[in-house]
Amino acid sequence: MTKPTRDEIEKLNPVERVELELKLAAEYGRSPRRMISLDPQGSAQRSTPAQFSPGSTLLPTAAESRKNDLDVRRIFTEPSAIPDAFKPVLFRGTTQSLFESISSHLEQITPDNRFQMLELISEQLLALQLQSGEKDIEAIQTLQEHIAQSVLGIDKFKDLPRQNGGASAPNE
Amino acid sequence: MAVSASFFKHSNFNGYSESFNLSNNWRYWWIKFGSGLRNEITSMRATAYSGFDGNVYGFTRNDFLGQFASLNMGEGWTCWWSNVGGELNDDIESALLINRNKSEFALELKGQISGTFKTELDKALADSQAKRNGEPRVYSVFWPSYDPSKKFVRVEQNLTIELDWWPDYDARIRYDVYLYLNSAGKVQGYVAWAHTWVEGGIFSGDILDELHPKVVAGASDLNGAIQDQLAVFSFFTFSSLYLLPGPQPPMPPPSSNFGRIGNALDDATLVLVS
Repeated sequence: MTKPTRDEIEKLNPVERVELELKLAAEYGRSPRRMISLDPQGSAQRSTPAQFSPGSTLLPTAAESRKNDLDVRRIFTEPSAIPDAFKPVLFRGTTQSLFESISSHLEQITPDNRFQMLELISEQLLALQLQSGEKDIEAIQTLQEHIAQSVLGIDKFKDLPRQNGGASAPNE
Repeated sequence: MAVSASFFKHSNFNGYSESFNLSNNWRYWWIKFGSGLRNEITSMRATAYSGFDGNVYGFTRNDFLGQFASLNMGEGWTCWWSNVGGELNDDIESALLINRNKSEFALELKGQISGTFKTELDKALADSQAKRNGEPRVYSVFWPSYDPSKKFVRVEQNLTIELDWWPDYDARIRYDVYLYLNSAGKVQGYVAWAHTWVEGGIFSGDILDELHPKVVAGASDLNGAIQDQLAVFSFFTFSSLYLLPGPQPPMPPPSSNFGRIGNALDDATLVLVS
C-alpha cells in the first residue's frame, strides 16, 4: 500500500488512524515499542537539565546566580479587596482615604519634586486601583489625568499622524 | 523611580486601569494581569526618568511570549499607545517594565547564533531520518515554570522525521542557554536545558526515545560554540547583563520610535552594561 498523505490521514478518526499506521508499519517490519495513544492531539516530549562534571567552570556560583537572577519584581494583579494584613501600614485605608491622600500629594507637586512625589503616590494608586469598584473608575481616571498633568506636564496625549500612539519629549 | 507605566481597559486611557512604578533598584517588573485587565487592555502609556531609559512590553501570552505592544522611552520621554489595535486589543495577559541604563551595549542574538547552529545541526542530522524544517528561532524566555529564577536565550528548531510508511512526523528541539556575568564581570554562558517534542502518533514515544538523547548530546557541541562566541567579550568587564524580548528597540527621538508591535519569537537581545 502506498504511503498516505497528511490530508488523507487527517480525514480518519483516531482509531482508524492508529489501525492504518500499525498496518503500514507492519509491512516494513516495524511496530511501536511504547504504548499507543488514541489522542490525536497527544504528543511526546521530554526536557533534560544540563549535566556537568563536578568542578565544571561553566556553572555560576551561588553568589553569581543571586546577582544575575534577583533583578525582578513580580506581581499578579487581582482586583479584590486586599486584606489589611497584606497592606503596608502607610497605605492601609479605605478607598476614600486613599483618594484623599493621593489628592493631597498631588497638590504638593512642584517641578523639582514631581518624580519623588510620584514615588509616594504610586503604591497608593495601585492599591486604590486593585480594591476599587465600578463606581470609582471615573474618579480614578480623573486622578490619572491629574497625575499626567502635574507630574508629566501633559494635558493631552496627541497621537502621531496615522498612528495609534505617540511620544512627548522631555520638557514639552 | 525609573519607569512608570499604566494600562487601561479602554482606548485613550479610559476605564479601569492599573499603574506600576519600577524603581531603579530593579531591572524588571514582571506583571501577570488578573481578572481586572487580563485580555482587556486597549491602551497603555509609560514614562522613564531618574537617570534611566525604559521599555514596557505587553504580551498576548501570560509567560512574556507571543505578540507584544512595546513602548520605548528615552529618559524624560512619555510614550503611549492610545489603542494597541488589531490583534492585540483585549489580548494582553502579561507585561514587563524594564530599566535601561545609559551606558549599554545591545546585541541581537539571532544573527549571531542561527547560522552556526544551522550548519552544525545539518551536519549532525545528515545520516538520520530527521531533517531541519525551516530556520532556527532565537528568542528570550523569562522565568519559565521549570526554572523560575532564570532568564534564557532559547534556540529552537522544527524538524521533520521521515518515515517510509507514513507522512513525516513533526518534531521540535529547543536549547535554553543561560548567560550571566561571573564575579569578575566576564560574560559566561552554557546550555541549561534541552527539550524535545514529537507530534502525536503511535511512534511518538519511539521517536522521542531515539531523538532526545541526541538532542542532549548536542548540548555539549552547542556549549563549545557558545564559548567561541563569548570569547569576543573576553577583554571586557561589565556590571550587569540582561535580556530584552525581540529585537533591540529603537528609542526616541524621533517620536515615531515611541513603540512598536512585534513578536517575542522574532529575536533575543542581549544587553551588557558597562
